[in-house]
Amino acid sequence: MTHRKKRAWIGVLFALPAILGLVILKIYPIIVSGFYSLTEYHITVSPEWVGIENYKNLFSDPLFIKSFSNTMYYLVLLVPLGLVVGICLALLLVKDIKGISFFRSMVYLPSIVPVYAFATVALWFFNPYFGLVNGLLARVGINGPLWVADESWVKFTLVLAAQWGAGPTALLFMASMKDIPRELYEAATLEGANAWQKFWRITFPFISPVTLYYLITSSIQALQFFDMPNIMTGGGPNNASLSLGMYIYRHAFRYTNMGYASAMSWIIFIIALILSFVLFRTSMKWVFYGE
Amino acid sequence: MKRIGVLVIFAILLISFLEAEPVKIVFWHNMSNPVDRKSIEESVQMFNERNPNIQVESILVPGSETEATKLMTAIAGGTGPDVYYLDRFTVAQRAYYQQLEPLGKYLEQIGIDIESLKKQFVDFAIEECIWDETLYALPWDTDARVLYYNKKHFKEAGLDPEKPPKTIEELDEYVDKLTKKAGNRYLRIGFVPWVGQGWPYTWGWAFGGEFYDPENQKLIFAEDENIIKSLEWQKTYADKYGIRELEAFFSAFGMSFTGANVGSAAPIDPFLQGQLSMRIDGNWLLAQIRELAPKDFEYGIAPIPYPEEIGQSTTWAGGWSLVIPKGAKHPKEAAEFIHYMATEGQIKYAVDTAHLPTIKEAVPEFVENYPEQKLFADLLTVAKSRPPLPVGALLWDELVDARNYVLYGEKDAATALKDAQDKVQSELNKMLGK
Repeated sequence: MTHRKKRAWIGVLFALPAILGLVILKIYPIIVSGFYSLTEYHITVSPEWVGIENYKNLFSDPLFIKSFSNTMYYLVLLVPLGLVVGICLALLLVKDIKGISFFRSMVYLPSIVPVYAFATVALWFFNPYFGLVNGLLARVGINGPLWVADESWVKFTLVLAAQWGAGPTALLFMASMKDIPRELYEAATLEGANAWQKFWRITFPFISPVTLYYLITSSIQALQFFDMPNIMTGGGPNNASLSLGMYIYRHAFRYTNMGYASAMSWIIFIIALILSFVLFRTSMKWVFYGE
Repeated sequence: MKRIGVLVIFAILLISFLEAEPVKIVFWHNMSNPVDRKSIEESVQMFNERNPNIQVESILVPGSETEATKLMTAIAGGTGPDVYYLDRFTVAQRAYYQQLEPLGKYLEQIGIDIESLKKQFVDFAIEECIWDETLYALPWDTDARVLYYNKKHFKEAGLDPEKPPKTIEELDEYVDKLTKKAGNRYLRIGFVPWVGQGWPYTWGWAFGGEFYDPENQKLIFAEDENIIKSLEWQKTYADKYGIRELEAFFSAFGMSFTGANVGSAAPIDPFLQGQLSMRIDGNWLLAQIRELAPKDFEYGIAPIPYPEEIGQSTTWAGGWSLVIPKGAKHPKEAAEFIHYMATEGQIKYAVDTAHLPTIKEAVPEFVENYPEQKLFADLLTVAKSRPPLPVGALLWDELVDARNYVLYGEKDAATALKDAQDKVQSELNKMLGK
């Protein structure tokens, strides 16, 4: 065995625990759930083959369609809003002013709070009668909406509340902004570029790899949106905030309908795959990896 | 020779030691309330003292009734307990999915006469323990639902505090008088049918409806005029008082009546705070009133109102049971423990904790200790219970969803019920092999 080969083997050996974990705890369940999605399966009774019936039933299940469209709503709003908030915060945090490290930790702090505590506080924030948000709105003469109590506002409220967790995204963008050579900005200033041109021509290309990473991970997270609606609304009112993740949970653990739940999981999985594929494909056009 | 003697003595010692090693029974329950828990622990201890060859170890496993995730993974992994504390209305579902051992068989093995044992419990409770003519559980406590009302509000509104509404018609009239509004916002709401324990079952039965025909194994609620009426009546509240304003009123207290499970953190109770005048609730509210209500809180309890033409009140009861999960290591000893708990243990539990008993023998002593619960105990004789079906949880959720469709004006009552019934019936047919 040559020296290089030996080293490669040692490398694999070190990575082995992670590889085993990935295969046993992630890849195996994914494949097996694909099999279960084609069966009627209730955990303690052996699965019974039903072919694509679960998938067929999905599309005539009004609650699936409702939770699916809710999830799409979350996806379409959570991802871009999170991007804008993340970049805006990063632009502020990247400035070298006095006490910036204090502000940086303040922005990150909410992400350390357990989601349960944070969701409970958010509920009080958006409380239609006694909440801070409607209280402030009332000061400026606006009669605030009923937020989570209103079918047509509840999803938007959840999306707003979710921005509390923008800290990690902001730090990620900030780190990548710090890597941008200062000369570029100096040169641009000399040439008479305004702030918007500087952002669009210099900052954005440099943070585009992080943006791609953000778009992919946050899209997947949005497709799996579960904890906040589950704690804050339980899916209500009238299932207006029921996400696919919650509906899967209901079938898997309330009705022990694992086959049906697996079929829904696979729908999410396939959408996530397609989304990632499209993002990667188009990324060649807009992601800048440096010359 | 000497050596053999030593060996014999050693062998005898060994055998007697092995015999003295008691069988260990693991018992999972989720009664985290300190009063309930203490009573259970004491009964377990008493059982252990009386049966030195069986030692029960009780473990508190928190979790909600319909999501027995921990139990299922434990059964699948072969590490489940010997005795489990299960919501009684899910016994049929668990039995159908082969998650339970046939308790009746083991009770027979230890020499217990099943038929006379069954007669010791109230009918609906024991019926919930049977699936496919096999006994899978013994009943533990039960509960009942009534109308709670705030006497002070009655006086303020010029109503007689000793005359709670008897009929739906009276109820509607009272609510009108009790509700107070300032601008767009409610200061006090008289009553909302679906708040608290006003579930689709509660009103369906109150209006004289039936949900299931056991003989033909068919769900019948969508064709039942009375159940359709019960939903239409609830809709009049959504229309008159405004569904959004009502939802906002209750969400301001940190609770949601159309969501599934908001507020595992205890919400502030608008009834105890004196902002809701009447509510359907269970007997457990008595303990909360004692603990949480302001000192000058004056309340009364009354049977659930009924439509004039029905002529009498009903209620319904739920409760818990004890089962042996599949693959238990010592099912026979577990059956012995369950038998003890469901009888002696339950009598003690009823007196200790004010939970309504399902064993008939316990009722007189219970009422003597808790005179305020006499109404509940009396109602048990007319109490309905949810149909013991393997699709119980699905049926529950579908009924709640159907009600919400009606309240939000998305479907009319007949359509909403029909859709729910078709969905649940097709699941049920699959299970019945039809």
